[in-house]
Amino acid sequence: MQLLAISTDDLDTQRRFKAELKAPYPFVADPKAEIIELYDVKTAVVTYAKRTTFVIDRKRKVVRVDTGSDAIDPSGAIKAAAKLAAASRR
Amino acid sequence: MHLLTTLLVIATPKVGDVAPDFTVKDTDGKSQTLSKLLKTGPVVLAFFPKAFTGG
Repeated sequence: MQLLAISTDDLDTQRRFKAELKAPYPFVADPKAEIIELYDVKTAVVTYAKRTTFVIDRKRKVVRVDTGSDAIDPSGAIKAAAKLAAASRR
Repeated sequence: MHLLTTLLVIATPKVGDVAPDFTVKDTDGKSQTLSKLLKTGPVVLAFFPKAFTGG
């Protein structure tokens, strides 16, 4: 399974954040909020992404959506994705 | 064609919906395409508001 972390932060900030977290997964800078708008997770007044985590299966179907404080820690979503990956290998 | 597709799917995907495909560059300059990533397994898309915050 793969994780992509996305926000409106610029490329430089994303690089520093990823390094700071020592995150093993890719970070994507979306300062124009293009993907953020595509997934309709843009905040209303100032342009940020709403904290939302989607788990997507191999058929590109959404199988889980975590929002707000549930999404602060992505490990629940990661576990769900890993389970899905293991199930589809059987 | 792409714009039309985008207009038709502007809504937060719910469980059971098809997730919109996209191609972006990550911080290493590597191209990431959702449909390509999905060939190897499930994908977690984690949107967050601001770096260096816990909110």
